[in-house]
Amino acid sequence: MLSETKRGQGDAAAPGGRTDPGDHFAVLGIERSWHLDTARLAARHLALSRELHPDRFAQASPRERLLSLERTTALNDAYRTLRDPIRRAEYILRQAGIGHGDHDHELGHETGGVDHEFLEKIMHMRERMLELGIAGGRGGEHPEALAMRTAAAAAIDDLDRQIDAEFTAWERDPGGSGSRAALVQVDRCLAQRRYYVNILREIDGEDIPAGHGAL
Amino acid sequence: MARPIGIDLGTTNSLVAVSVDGQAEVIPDERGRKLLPSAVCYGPGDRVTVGYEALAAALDNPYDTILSVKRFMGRSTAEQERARGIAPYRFAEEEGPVVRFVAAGREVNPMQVSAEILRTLKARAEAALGHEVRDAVITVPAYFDDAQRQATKDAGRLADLNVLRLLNEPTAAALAYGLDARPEGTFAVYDLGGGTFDISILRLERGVFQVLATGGDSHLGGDDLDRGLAEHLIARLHPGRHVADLDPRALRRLLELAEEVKMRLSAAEATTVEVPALPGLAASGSFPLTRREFEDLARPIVERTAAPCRQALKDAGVAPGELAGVIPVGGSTRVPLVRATMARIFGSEPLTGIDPDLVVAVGAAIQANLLAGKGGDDLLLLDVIPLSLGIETMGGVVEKIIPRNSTIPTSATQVFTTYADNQTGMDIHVVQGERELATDCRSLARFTLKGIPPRPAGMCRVRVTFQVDADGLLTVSAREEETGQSQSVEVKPSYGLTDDEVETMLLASFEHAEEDVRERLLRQSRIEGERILHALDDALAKDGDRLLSADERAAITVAAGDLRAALRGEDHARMQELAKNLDEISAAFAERRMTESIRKILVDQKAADVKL
Repeated sequence: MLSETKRGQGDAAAPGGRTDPGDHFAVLGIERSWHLDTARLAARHLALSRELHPDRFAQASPRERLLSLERTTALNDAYRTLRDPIRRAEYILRQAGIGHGDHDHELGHETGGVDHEFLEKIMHMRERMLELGIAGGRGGEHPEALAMRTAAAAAIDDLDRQIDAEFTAWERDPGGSGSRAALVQVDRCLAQRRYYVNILREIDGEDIPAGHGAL
Repeated sequence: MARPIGIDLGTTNSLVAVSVDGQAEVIPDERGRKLLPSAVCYGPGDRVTVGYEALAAALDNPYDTILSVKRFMGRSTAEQERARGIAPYRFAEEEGPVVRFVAAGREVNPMQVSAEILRTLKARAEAALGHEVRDAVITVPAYFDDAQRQATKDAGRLADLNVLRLLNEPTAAALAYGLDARPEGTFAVYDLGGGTFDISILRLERGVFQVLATGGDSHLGGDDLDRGLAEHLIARLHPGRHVADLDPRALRRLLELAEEVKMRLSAAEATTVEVPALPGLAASGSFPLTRREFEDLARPIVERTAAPCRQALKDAGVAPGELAGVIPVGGSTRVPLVRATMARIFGSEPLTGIDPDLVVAVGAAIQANLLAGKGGDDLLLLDVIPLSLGIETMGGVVEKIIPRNSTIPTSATQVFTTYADNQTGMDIHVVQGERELATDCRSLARFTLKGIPPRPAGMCRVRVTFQVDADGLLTVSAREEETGQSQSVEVKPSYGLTDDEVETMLLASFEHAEEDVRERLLRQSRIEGERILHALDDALAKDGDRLLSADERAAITVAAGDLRAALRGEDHARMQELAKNLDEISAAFAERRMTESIRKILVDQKAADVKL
């Protein structure tokens, strides 16, 4: 574990003094896994913050101040990513080289991983929303809007259950041959989930924070 | 040893506080007044007055007296129109990245005006403490964006202050309360300042002050209540007339009267208003005014605080019933309607105990003390970025790269690929805000990445890193990742002042510029050098034997000896050079110490896991 921690930190200080994400799990010193104890994660973040935070280094040398800034940045970025189940899932996929999460993609490009049939279903929903004029938070109490909302929320719940199950399979044997297939399934679920979250957002006309849902 | 100060740089009033023997207190002026009106009057010649005197001068000299300068901080000339309605200032004509006032025939920018206020507070502290003051924590509204924060830091530099930290005002208030009684739980800080409104939700737990969510409105404040009341007073006596078309001197008098009436109605249910004859409005008159009447016109303004409060609670994932208390900040929270509104939103009465006018400065002084390494090792502030950072994509849509309420310091990287053959440049537009379209957000920086090698479309990748530091300030850097080679490009945001501009303005503010600046550089280099040596001695005593080989230690000792000798001399350039040399030679040591301390914490944490 020690060497892994060291490697993660070594990566954090890239040439040119820039902070690279490093390995989020290593930064927080926890096992790579999607199911995790968020209370323990919070405790780790706090304990490391107490030692690393720039406030602790206000009187230190410029070098130590820079190190403190880099390490605390890596710590906060790791915590922000891992404490949220959806961001955590996307991160695990990204590390496995599956899908693209929020990284390394053309701007504005929606994800792949969804089939034609699914896209058609979403397109029908959107067309119906436009016809009824219920997009942009103008759904109000329209019965069909409420029904659509319920359907989207139920779909998200269902996807969340699938994601949970696929990760359980992956965690049993992260390096195994079947585990990659599980992650590909997660990628497909996440891609579909994004469409439903967007539909909810349009009906409600508000900003739904990432990872908001039944997970 | 010199004590660091805490400064509350407010829209209407500013304060300075210092922590002496573990007790943080606001420093009054020689007449015992704690507040310093944030007013700066530019007179003939080089004459500048600040505070009560400037406020008095504003009555006769409304154009040359700058009030509420905070509303202009970090604003460009294009945005000044929005703030123009609040004051009669004259602005410089050319467009530019910063607002420039024309006062008493010269041009001054908001940072320079704020620096006058900071200088006055610094002098006040120096007189009271009997020593020179250099280090300061300056507070900013939590909802201030990057440009407003940068402007505040620049003002500190112009006032010759070493800004240890920009501290969010609600966090400062929580620190003042938290240190006082050591409460635990989740608190809301409702900060209705003169010109800004902030709401923060914090968790206080075993010395850690963690901001869970923050929100607000940077164009809403107690000033708006005064203005609303002034509008009412003028309508009563002169139907059809409006505040907007008053003579500036008349407006000034009327706003002062409104503030006084507001305060009277906080204590009493009714009062008699006597409006004097004003320039351009000859008829004077008096009439009764009840609190209820005042509240009817104040309600729409106060109501605007409710939505940000509810959003912050939602962002924090906290229900009103889970709050352990509500901390009021700002003089306007004395207004009964405001208190009632707080109670209604949060379901509990606001706390009392610390004067809402002083609480932010007190918190700033506590934080300054912590940063100076003077006790309080068990305290830690974890703050957040108030507004999401994003970049403009195709069609003007914003892609968020750092969400609001992320704990700072934080960063995000984004990889861009070229979209055309032989494309050698790439435009990047960084914005801050929650709206979907870039035009609805605050534009922070526009820059072009240049020097991309000509290749077919999609073949070049540029990695852009957005770093937000503990002050909430953004720096952007970019690296082109062609096979085997990468170049680093530092990107400066396009607003604010450059280092050279700060230096030039600083020079201009000294009477005997060259001598003073040389003196100042020498002093600063010496302080910085001594600080580095002190920190190094501590580190060597603690970890030198374990983490350094004999050779490494000898090299560090030699470099430290060189620096120590140079500090006794008069050559600041040599001091800086040797400090840099020592920093490089001891870099590996610093790195090892940091890695070791992380390892220790993780070992402890894992041991704790096993016990559970």
